[in-house]
Amino acid sequence: MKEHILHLQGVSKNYAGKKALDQVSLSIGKGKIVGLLGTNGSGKSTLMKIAAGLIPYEGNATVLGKPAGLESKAEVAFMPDRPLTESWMRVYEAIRMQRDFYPDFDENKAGQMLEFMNLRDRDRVSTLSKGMQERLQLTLTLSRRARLYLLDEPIGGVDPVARTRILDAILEFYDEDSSIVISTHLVREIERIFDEVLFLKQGKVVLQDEVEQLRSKHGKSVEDLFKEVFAE
Amino acid sequence: MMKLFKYDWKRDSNTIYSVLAVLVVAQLLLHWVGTSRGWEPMIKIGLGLMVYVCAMVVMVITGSKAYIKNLGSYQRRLVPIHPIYHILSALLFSTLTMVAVFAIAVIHGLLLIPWSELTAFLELGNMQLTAWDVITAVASGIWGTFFIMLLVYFSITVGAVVNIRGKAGVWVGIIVFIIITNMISLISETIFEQAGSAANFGIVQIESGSSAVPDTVSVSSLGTGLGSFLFELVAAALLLWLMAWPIRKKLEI
Repeated sequence: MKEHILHLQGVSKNYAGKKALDQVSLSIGKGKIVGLLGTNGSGKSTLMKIAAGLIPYEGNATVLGKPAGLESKAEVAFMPDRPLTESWMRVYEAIRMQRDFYPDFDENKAGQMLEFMNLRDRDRVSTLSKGMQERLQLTLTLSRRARLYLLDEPIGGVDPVARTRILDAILEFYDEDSSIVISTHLVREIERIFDEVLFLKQGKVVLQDEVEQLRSKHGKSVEDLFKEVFAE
Repeated sequence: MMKLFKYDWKRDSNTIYSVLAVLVVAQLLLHWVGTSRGWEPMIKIGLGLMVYVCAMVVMVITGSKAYIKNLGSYQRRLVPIHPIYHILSALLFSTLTMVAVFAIAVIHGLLLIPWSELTAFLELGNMQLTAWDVITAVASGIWGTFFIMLLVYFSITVGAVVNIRGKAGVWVGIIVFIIITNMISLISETIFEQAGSAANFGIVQIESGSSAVPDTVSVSSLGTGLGSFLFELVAAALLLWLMAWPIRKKLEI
């Protein structure tokens, strides 16, 4: 039987009467880099937070068969759209904190990633640029030996040089036993690394397929399809 | 839990050390000015107590702010441990900061206040203290601090759960705090015929006559306060369970 890392069945989420997710069903298998694509407010971050076990929801969501919540948190490494670090920290303290909180944190991998990302141990987190901040957050997330990585807008608001570095780092340090879900609306810059894409529109999954299948079926790039699906 | 505590402490250590340093300097100044100008012992001790109360208020606010921040922090909420450890870590943090203030007060008392002034102050309240009374008072003080902070954090948690979108949560928290402290005090008083610790730390008893000034202030033995303490212990366990559930199942981020 095919192993699902993440499985959602009829998952819904409301915020003060407004539907953020509406009966979402999807499965993500092992060894995939999946693009979670949608415009602002389409429910991408909400879906990520549910998969990370952070917020309550209706329906059935599991990570490796465990209900998304306290039981599944150890399997998931989440890079949210807000920093995992605190302003008083230096880079090495942020690394130590992750090591203290997560038994699966790999310090050697973190060291390699810091070097790859041109980050220095003694740098103060509060003085890092937006691009360097994103590099650090990615280092903290990918240095865990998790089974599911969730990256919420990892290249949002960073310059092209940092974007390339971040995408290269994802490919370089990605473990093929796990899966990565990357949410973004910057499709062109990132589509080269996706195995699968999932289009989320107004809280509903409107398309999920492998990138190669989509290209051959529609004769279009993911970005062109994205523009077509989300055209107003 | 200790790892959570370690990072709570690191985050706020500057504030805590600053408050403690200011407290020491303020007490030294007060002592020096009071002695050089020949103030009455009661005035010196009274003003000193006010400074201690201010320091404690800052510690309560610092602890509460840290707890509120942690409730909404991705970094903390992602850690794969039961929410009860987050609460216990915050309680340990607050209790220790308060104990630090108490410790400075004790050292202050022993070093700077002449025995004659201290006994004069105690005699005013008709206090008759033994060594055992002091030990039980210290123990009940620590427990009382822990319990009061638990009530504060319980109220904050309820407020945070209600406060999904908007600011109603702050008011809900305040109302919950008033209700829960009075409820626990009332139940403790009804069952054990003794004022509960939510009001006065359980063991210290104030018996007042018709005048506004207490007739006697005494420290009861641990035996008479045991029932009340056990009641608070059960209430604390229940509150911890009640707090952990919404953090796990209801709290948005």
